[in-house]
Amino acid sequence: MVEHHSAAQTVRYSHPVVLLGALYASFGSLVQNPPLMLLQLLPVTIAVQIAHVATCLGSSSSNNGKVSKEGGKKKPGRPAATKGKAELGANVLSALLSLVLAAVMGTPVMFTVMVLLGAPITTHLAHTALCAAHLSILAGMPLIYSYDVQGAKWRDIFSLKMPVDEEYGGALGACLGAWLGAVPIPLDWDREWQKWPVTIIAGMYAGYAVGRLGGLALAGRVARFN
Amino acid sequence: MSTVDDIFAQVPRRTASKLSRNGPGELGNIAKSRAADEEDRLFAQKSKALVEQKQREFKISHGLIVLFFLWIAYTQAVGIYLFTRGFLLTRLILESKSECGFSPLTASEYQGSLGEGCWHPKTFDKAVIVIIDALRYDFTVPQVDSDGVPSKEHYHNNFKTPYEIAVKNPQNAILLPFIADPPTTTLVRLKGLTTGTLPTFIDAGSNFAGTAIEEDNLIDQLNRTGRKIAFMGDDTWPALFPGYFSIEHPYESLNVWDLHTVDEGVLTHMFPLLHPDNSSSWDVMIGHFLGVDHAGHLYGPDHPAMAAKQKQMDVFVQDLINAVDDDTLVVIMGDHGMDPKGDHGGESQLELEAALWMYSKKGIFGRLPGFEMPPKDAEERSVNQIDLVPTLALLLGLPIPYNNLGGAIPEAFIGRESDQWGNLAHVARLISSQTERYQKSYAVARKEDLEIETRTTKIWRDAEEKFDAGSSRDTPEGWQTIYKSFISHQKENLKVCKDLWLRFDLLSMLLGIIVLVGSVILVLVYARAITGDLRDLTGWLAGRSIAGAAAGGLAGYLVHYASISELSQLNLALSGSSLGGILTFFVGTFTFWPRVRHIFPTSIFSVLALLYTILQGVMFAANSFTIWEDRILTFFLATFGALSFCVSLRQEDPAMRTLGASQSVIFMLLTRLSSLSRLCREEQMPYCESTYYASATSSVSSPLSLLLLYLVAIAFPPIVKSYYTGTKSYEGPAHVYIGFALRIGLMFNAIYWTLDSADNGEWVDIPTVALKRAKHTIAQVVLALAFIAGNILFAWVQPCLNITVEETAPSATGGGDSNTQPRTSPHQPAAAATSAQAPPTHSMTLLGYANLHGSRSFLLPLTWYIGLALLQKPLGGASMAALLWQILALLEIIDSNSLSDSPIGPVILAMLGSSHYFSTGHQATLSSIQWETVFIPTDTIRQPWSALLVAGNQFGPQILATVAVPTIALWKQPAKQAGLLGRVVRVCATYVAYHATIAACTVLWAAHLRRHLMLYRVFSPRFMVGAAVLLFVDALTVAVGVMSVRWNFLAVGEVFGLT
Repeated sequence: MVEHHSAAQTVRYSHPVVLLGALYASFGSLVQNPPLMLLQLLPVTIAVQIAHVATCLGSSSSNNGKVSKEGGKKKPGRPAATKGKAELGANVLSALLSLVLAAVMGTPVMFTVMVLLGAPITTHLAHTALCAAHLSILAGMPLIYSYDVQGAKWRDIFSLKMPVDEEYGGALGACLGAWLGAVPIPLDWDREWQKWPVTIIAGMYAGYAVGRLGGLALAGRVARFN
Repeated sequence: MSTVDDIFAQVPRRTASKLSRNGPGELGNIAKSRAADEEDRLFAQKSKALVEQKQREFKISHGLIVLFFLWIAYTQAVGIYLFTRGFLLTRLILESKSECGFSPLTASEYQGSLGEGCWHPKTFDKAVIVIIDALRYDFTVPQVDSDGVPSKEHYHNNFKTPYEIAVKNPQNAILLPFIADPPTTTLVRLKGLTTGTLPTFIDAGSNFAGTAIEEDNLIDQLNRTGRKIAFMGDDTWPALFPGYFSIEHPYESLNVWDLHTVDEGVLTHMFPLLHPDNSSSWDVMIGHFLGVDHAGHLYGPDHPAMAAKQKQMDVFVQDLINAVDDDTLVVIMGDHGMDPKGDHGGESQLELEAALWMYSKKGIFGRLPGFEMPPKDAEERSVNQIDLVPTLALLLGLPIPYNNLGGAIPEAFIGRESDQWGNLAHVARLISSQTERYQKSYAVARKEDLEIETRTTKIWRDAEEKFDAGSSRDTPEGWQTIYKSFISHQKENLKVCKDLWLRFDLLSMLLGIIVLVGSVILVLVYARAITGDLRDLTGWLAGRSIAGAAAGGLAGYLVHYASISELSQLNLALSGSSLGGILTFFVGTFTFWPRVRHIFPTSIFSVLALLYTILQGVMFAANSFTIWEDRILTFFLATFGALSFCVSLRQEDPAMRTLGASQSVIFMLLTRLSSLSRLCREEQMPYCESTYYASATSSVSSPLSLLLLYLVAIAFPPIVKSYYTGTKSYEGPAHVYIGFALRIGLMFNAIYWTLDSADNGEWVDIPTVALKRAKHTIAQVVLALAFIAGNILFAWVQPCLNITVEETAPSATGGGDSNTQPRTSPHQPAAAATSAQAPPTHSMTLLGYANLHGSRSFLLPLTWYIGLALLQKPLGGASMAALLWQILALLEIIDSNSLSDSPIGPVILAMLGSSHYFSTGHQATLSSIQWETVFIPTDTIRQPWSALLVAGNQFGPQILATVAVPTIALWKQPAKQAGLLGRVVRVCATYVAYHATIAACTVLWAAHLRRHLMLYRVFSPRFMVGAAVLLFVDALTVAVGVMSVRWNFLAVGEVFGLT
């Protein structure tokens, strides 16, 4: 399902780098005022993600998450540039749609999960909500774009039964990274960056990048639990 | 085997046919009935013999399993004992006493007499020494906020007289922060305040039973110099000094619910003695008030009762100074402070900072330059509590107690004009010389080389040289230099001693660690590495290991006589026996080597179980992770819930999928909800807000939490019931336990705590005595219901099963053929197993068969919950309900994902116990122990019950989890599954393995970090909690867990036969 023409390839490989770069560049202000900086960082992430899904993941209606090999082979043969342009427009539209879905449905879910895992309930609500928004856009949006609302697919996604690919690997990596990001918070190092939710965000972005690489390496594998 | 099964398979049918025959309208054909009776008789004989044989076999293998677990418990207890012996500090107790006529100085210098003062001219003939327990320094100095507005806290600005006098008439009084050496328990403090030496850690444990002090001390010196002592107050004193007081009025000290009896007693007996007519009956008077301390324990500092107590003490001080004469020294002090919640025992700054006030009408006190006013806090200036010992001794003309390490309080010797530096230097020299003499004897007692001059001795010799030089003795500045040299000697010596008595017995610690780690590995191997049924193997292993333990013990005993080791006979025998047992176990495993596989996990949940155990073990190496253990456990548990949600979605069967996913969500929600109830430890500040009590500075529960308790009483029984009705197991004893005992017990809990709050808050106008009696009666009823009736009944009751026989239309199949089997499929998910049998017109329904073992076995944690919840504060009781619900959810998660063989069940159960330890208002600190639990069902302390009540409160969640362990292996398991007992054993062993790993890790880190700054604040308390939990878990696993399996299997076997 990953398109192999050069623009798509550029976006595909550069977008984790861009995301990490943006986070790195804003890290100082993120530590100083997390909600503000998270809010400012959100459009960047959204733009990068839209560019990414619209160029790399092909038309969302044509592929339903079939094993990537077939899709990949089919695409280079596509000739007409005009058709490509129209398709890009359609892709951006469905990317926007999946963005709305991720923001509206993903954020509350992620927020709830974060609170259940121990995020503060009475304070730092904006911090946690924005953190949840980042996670759902980072991890959720590409998946929504690919699988829209197919129940069976989403059950596979939640039950970790999906064959791994870059997007799914990235999503799992982001979740795992966010989880690991909680580890340094209680340490008594008295560092400014230990404040909520800086480490979670850092872990999430790093995990996303690493997860994508992992997804690439382990493409097609299915997690076996026993 | 198959014939046996056939016979047993008929048991239910027989039971049913008996039932139906007794039913109405069934006595039709007499001849047929006779034939059936004959058949019944023969069958009964055959089956009875078989049942008995089976029962015998079961009891034997069960007994051996108990034996095996007992051996594990013994080994782990020995490991903890050996480690503790070496880790908790020891100090040699010297018998030497200071003599009045034998000053540490040379004979040419001041040689006093009893009349004028032994080593130094005395200042006072008489003294009144008053301890106001837990008088924190900030209670005594005016507290204003940054705008100069007086503090509004109930514990500030009430106790004013001492400060006012010390400011207005500085020569009459001094007020100073008075720093305690931890642990800050009264018993240990009294030892320090009379002997002048440092406590060793082990003293903390003996707070409940004071034992006589053998070392040289002030009280003994007073006696030896013929002074008469009058005492009134806290009965710890006569326990420490039996027979020393010529007048004594002791009062029970541990009843924290009673704010007034002790204080009234002191006031009643003190003032008559102060009357001039009675002045010859005493020389030194000691009074010990407890009201302030008890108000702190009961309500926390910020409560009107605290203000009232402090005002009462203020009036007392005014009365006292009016009543004493010129030659009497008055000392008023706290023995320790209190933490923000009003408790003490640990070593936080607030617990250490007591107040010291010395007063004399004569006006002898001076001031050090720069400290004219009483210090604002201890940072500005403070004295050690042990400094009081030499100061009092010299002021009263006594010899300084032999082992004293304290220095002089300079204000008492510098003179009212603050210029007597010469006197001060003499006093400091005297004290240093005595300390030096003590150090020499200590070195002799330890058989150390006296030729090597220690650093402190050198400082002392330098100071002596300065003193002898004489040139500096002409000016105050010169004296000041001499004084400073001696003081630096005393300070350095104290520092050295503090280090010295942190000397660990490394050999004993090492042996303890080896035994403990060995036992961890052995339990892990036993629980996770041995494949197949553990039932047959355990007996064999138990025999070998116990024989090995006996042989090892004997060997250790003999080593003692070979005098190779310095360890005592007992310790050698103990370590020998535990090492011998462990060794034989491992040698034993080689005989069934093919059955041993690696213990590394293969499935996601066993990876998670191992990961959680290792992560927790490792995190105790960092003080910050240890401090935040409560949050980390919540994080881990919620993660498990999330993962089990995901994995449940993998199920193909929609019913199972929904069950697993919904229970996972419930599990996560309850985890997070119960984490909202917490009591922060000092180190968590300022990132933590306590919710367990009404406010951060009180120890009273909020009235809102009472509502929660009523909610639990109403809503919780139906919730538990719903877990039974799913398998139609809400039958038989379930009605008694859930429908009756749980409802009544929880309602009584709620009523008890309502009465308690009414009593504390004085809501109603009922006399306290009546309220108390009502409270105690209710508590006794609940405890008897839960622990006596509930347990005894558990041994007798039938399984939660109902057999109904219905009349149906005659079916075409079947007939009178009694050989046809009632095919009750154990895997049938629905509750009913029906069999259409002879007579053909009847069908039998077994309700509750699907969860035959689990439903009965869970009744035990249920009844324990009722009792354990009573022992917790209201919020804790609600948290325990959440725990029980989480256990039920966990059981369903395990069942729906077929995880009953996975280690995740016992590990998560154990973590639930640890997590609720925190949500019931506990922390791994000494001051969070809720001693007042003792007085829930009674007014008096009666061992061992009082200790059990405190333990039930302290470790309630872990106890409840332990009692629930066997249910993990039994919940919804087929009743006649082969090897079920072996699986229960495996689950129990896994549970023990988890706790043993945690305890071993806390031990390892405490040993490794024994020089760490946070040892006493963080690592040592965590080690003690870990070790205590392991001992409890071991004992309860044997006594309750494994034993409950016996009743359960026999009860089920009675109906369906044993496998």
